[in-house]
Amino acid sequence: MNRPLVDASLALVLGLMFIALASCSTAVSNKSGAMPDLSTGVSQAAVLSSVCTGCHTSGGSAKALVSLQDYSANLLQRKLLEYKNEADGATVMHRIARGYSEQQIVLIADYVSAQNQIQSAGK
Amino acid sequence: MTISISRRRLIMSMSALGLSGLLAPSVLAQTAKAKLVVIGGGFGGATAARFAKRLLPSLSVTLVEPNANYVACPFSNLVIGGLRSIEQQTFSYGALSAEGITIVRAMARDVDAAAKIVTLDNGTTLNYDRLILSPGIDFRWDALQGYDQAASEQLPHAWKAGAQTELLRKQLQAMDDGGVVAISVTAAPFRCPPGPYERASLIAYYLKKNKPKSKLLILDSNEKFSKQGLFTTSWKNLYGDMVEWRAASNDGRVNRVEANSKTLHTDFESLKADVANIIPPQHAGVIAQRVRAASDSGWCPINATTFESTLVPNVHVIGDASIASPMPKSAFSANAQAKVCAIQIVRLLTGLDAEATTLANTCFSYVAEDKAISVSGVYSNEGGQFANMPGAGGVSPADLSISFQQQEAAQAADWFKAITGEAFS
Repeated sequence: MNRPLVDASLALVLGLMFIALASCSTAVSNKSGAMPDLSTGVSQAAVLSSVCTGCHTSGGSAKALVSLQDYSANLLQRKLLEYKNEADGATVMHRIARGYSEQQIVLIADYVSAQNQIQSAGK
Repeated sequence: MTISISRRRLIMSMSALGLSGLLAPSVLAQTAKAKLVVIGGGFGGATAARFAKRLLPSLSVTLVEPNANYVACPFSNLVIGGLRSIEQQTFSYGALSAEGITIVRAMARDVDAAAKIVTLDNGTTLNYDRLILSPGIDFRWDALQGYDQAASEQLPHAWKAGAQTELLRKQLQAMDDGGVVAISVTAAPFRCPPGPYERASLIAYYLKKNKPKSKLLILDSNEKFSKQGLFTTSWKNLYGDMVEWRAASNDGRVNRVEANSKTLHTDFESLKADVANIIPPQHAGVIAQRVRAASDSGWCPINATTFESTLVPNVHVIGDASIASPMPKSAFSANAQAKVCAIQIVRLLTGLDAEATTLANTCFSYVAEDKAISVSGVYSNEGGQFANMPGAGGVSPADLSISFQQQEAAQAADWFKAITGEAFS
């Protein structure tokens, strides 16, 4: 949790790479224009996912609400899309998932699973 | 614009390749010195301070909070109903200190927004680059005739948790069977829209078990309320005729109280209660008024994308104090807003543009010891405005099965652990 996500260090040597990299950025952007940027805590994926942790911890003693730590990107994406698309679903997650686009769900699923990997690597 | 987009692309591309730590030298110089001051250590302020510090460890983060501990309002109605202790509601700031956040135990007295200086009640000053105001609510003691701070010792509001919560609990315990409990609800907007009705449910739960001849009367200054259908059905099913709700148009609006005799006056009636809980008129915490971040409404208008005050630059307002409708004044909203606000402030401090996103809220309300109902919403904050995401949100199903309500009660308990964990532990 204390991992610096925007670190104030700089390697100037890499400066010349920037222009080349900037052109790559369009290639990895999705339809919504948001970058599938899983490594920084200030990306759109991080902002979207920040709301999830108000209820869902990554580990701990939750009983009725799932902990996010065991979810792969694929599984989380599938679950969220199910919630979004089950027309007669009445749970809180159904009501919430309907407010998110498929692209946003992909971003959230990828970001949460990337955070899981960072966390388990830190253990 | 071109410059900022290309810089953003640059940083995004860097991070896409795992070089997220790298920022341009000019940004580095700025952020190395950057100071964030957060006023108010509730669900909004504590969460925002922690997220900002984690995102940008070089940032100096100071939390200004007069109390040594925070006593949480969510779940405090369970304390009033005798189902939970006040200790379970109480949280310290130890975890925040341990993470490098400076906790200043003082009251913010004033802010010089031009000079970006906060003055505390102990005379010391704090400089900031960005200020987050998360002061919650204060009561408008002048607004309901007869209801001042002294009167609240006899007619508790219990709308800030702590001693007031325990006072209301004790008064209910001391009341004889057959007594009348009155709850007066101020006109919206107020903190925790479903809160008065959850409270009514849990007081009824206590009365039915211990003082079944008693009566609970809700005198409402509003015509309708949050989760009304679900609450009304639950009251009927669980408590029969014990709970009576009176709308404003049905002479429900209390316009004067007498503390000594516990008398509540409506337009046409005077009601002597045995226990009276007054949920009084409110506005954004006093410091928001001092800073002039509050409009004539008493609440703080903000740019919904950045949470920056539309009245005072470099001051961001989150939680109950802000005007964020249709997001409700809830702990869940404050927590979600805190995280989004912290991220946007870090983006701005590191030379990135702020980005609109999607936020959500869920309010669980207990209707009995092990049964709860919920309302959810999903919101866009694009273009500086909050808006409901169409087709999303809503309340628990009307054909409430007991097991569905029990499930939501269990979810509520997990939610409380998660949100207090994120803010305090």
